[in-house]
Amino acid sequence: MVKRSIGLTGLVLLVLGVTGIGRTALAQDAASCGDCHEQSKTFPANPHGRAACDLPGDAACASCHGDGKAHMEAGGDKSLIKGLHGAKGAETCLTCHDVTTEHTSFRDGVHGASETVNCLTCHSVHTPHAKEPNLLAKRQTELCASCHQGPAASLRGKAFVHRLDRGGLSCASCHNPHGRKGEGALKLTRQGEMPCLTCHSEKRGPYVYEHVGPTVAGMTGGCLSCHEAHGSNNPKQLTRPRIDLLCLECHSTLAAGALGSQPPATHNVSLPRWRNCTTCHVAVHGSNRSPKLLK
Amino acid sequence: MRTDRILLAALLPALLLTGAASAQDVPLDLELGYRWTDVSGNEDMFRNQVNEREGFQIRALSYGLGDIRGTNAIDHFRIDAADLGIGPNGLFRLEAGRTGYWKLNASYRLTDFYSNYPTIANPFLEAGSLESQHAYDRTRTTMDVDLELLPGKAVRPLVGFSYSRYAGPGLTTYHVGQDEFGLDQDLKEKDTEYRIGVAFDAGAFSGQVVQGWRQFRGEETLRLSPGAGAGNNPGTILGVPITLTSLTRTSKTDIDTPVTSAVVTGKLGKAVRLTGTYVRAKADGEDESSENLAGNLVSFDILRYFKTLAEQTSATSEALSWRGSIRADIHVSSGFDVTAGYTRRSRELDGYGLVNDLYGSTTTFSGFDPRDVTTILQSQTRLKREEDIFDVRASLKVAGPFSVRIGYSENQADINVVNDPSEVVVPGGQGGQYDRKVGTFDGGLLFKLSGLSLGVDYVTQNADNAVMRTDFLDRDRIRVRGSWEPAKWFRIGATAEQIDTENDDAGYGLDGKVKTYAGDLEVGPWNWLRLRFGMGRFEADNSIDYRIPQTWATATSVYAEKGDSLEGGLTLDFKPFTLEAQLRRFENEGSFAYELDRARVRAGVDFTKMFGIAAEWDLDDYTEKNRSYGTGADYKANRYGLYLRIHP
Repeated sequence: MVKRSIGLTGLVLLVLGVTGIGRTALAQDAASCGDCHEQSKTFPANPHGRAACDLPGDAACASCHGDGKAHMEAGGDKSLIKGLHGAKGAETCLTCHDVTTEHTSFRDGVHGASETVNCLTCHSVHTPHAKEPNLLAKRQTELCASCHQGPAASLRGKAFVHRLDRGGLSCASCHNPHGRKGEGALKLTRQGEMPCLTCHSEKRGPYVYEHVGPTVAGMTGGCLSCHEAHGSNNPKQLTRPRIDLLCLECHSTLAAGALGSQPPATHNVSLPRWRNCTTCHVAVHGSNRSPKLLK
Repeated sequence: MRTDRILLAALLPALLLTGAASAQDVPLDLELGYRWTDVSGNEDMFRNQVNEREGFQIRALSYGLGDIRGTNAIDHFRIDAADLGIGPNGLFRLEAGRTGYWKLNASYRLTDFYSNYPTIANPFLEAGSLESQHAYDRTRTTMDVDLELLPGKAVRPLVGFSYSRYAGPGLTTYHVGQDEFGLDQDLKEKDTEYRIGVAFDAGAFSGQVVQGWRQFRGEETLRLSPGAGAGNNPGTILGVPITLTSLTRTSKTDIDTPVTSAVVTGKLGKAVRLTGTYVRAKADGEDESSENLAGNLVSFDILRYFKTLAEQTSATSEALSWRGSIRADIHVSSGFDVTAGYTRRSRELDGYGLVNDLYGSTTTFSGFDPRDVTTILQSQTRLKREEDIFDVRASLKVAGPFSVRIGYSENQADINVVNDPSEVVVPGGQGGQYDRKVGTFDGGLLFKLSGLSLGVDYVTQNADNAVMRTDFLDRDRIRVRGSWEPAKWFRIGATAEQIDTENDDAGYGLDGKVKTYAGDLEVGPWNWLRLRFGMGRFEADNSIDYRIPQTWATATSVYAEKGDSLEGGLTLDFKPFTLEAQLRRFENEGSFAYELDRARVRAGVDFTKMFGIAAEWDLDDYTEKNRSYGTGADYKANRYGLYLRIHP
């Protein structure tokens, strides 16, 4: 662990030393927009600025805000320049960022451009948060929490959670903010599996004896049959605190036609030894060695 | 670890190219220092939940140069890091590139996993033991590198690499000879993927095709834990105490999976866009395992006592997954969009397992007929799952202050399970053909005027059948949201949500109700001060019938949750001083009652333009209620961090 820390620190410091940490002036054009708008001075270092670096003069600004001549002549009349706010403003962003795939739609996803939620609700083109990627306006978890108070309070308050406040885990690790409606706008793996397998890849299988095959969104089987993805009140983020009840809710032959076996009568769940099913059935995620998932 | 270093070193050349940097858009901010911990009570539970340990770490790092066009190789780069070192969640991320030439995204994550819960795999909990027989202390190292060449051009080659290593010691158990024995576990698993592809943009058509090759390699070694030879069962079997004197099992798993994915989007005029997707993954797995044990044991399978067991297992598994979809997005007019799609998903699994057991020094239950006995178990399993999904959705987004969306989707799943007779515990319910169709209607209405936003979402789902017993037949969800932000310095918001789940068919008795209420208030009367308050209530009442194994009687499993959260915090930015403080309290009165108080304070001061210091204090105070084992799982953990800040 100590070696790990020293090694990583050394690498980062070496890189910073070599790259030089001094700052020099930005390359600037004598753009007329810049006479009033300070943002245009730092714009070349912005991803949009780089993309528009070959455009002359005010053309970079005009590519999003339209021709600023009338705006300038009117002494900065805001009504004479195109803003990017609201659903109509988002159409300007969509001119370039109209990404459409099976699961993603910038135009029509869960956060598709409406008056209530649009590009500038989460992104800030000119003044993004310094420590966030993708020109996000604030810290990502803070942004999501401003509308999704329920999951946020659950993740912040409950005892057994995916801890989002430290390290690299964020809402967007599992959810696609531009995802289409349905299946929680989950960020599926490239193979189309639950995002859980991105980190917990050893659960992917395949196994000769599968418990529940990896599936998309827990319609039948899948991680969410037993686990809660956000905050849980139960150890291991399980949906139930008692393992025997969690198992027996599926493993009962009370109803004909459902998938799930019944434990034999030797499993006397009134005794502690039998109440912890996973003490024996250790391979609950699947096994290649034991039909009864014992190893 | 060696591979980690090689991979990290591979990132270095890209960073060295930035030596001639001349401008920056993310100022350097480096924070490094030490964290101390002070934990009283159950340290295992603290590690289960928080797992922050004492040691050195890079608390935060960010640095980016956004306009370095003077160099030929690179015009921007950015690095971010957080909590690298003692962990438990460390991240290093790099973005670099030259516009129009190349774009690199790389990330490195280090995550520590710890598990030792008193209520999991602990048959002696009621006898007072809080030590789980299943525990692990492992680390996952993850790296992803994606390089896109010629970004923005008509044809863009793509190269990528992903790496994940999960390793570390653990404790587990093994059920053999009519008892369970504790085992020491050593696990090493590695998952890598190489991928190449091409993205294209040819007029009306764009898309990408990527071919990946994924490899999973796993090795596990198990040995009888010291002192675990007496097993979990204090009694005897047929009058004989069951003991194990030695056990060693080694196993190796190899899985190779080529993954092909393709997506093509075509524009038909300005209004219609068609997207086709195809993904195929074929996993071929092999698993070999060897086990040797000795002791005094019983097997009801061979109806004998035995003293040694040598087992060889080999297994192969093949899983073919594919998904194809076609979708039309129609931009009817400004703010009015319609989308419709059809997806077919398929997963087909074939498994073959061979278990060869040699029981040594066996005798009958009467003590006669000594001999060695061999058994062979040969299994074949098969699972096929096919899903047909279609959906249609319309949204009207610019209707004055209103936005409306409605949609309908249908999912037809056909599942065929052919399990091996060896898997059958009690006849029935494990194999066969299962079908389920779920129809989902959803609608939403949003209203926004000045700073006021209101929204309501409603989803209703109906299924014709349950495949698993916990599947619903009817589920309804309604969610109402509101927020008011009259000025940048004031925002108040609230959400209420209710989900009702039902399957009242005979033998199921599934009835679930989940209610969530949450709200928050943010006030920033001055630029240097921001206050936040939040509260939430989580209620759940779920019940489902089940059969008690030992009596065959019907009972009801009831799960309840009644949790209240309360939080408050302030951020003070009064340069050169900064202060962040948060207090949180969560109290659950449901099936697993507990209280959790959390506090966090972070104070910083910049001594000079280049150097500053930050101090942190974190508190987690966890108390369980109504436990048969008393307060043994409770803990109180203080963590103190002191960090040097460098921000030239």
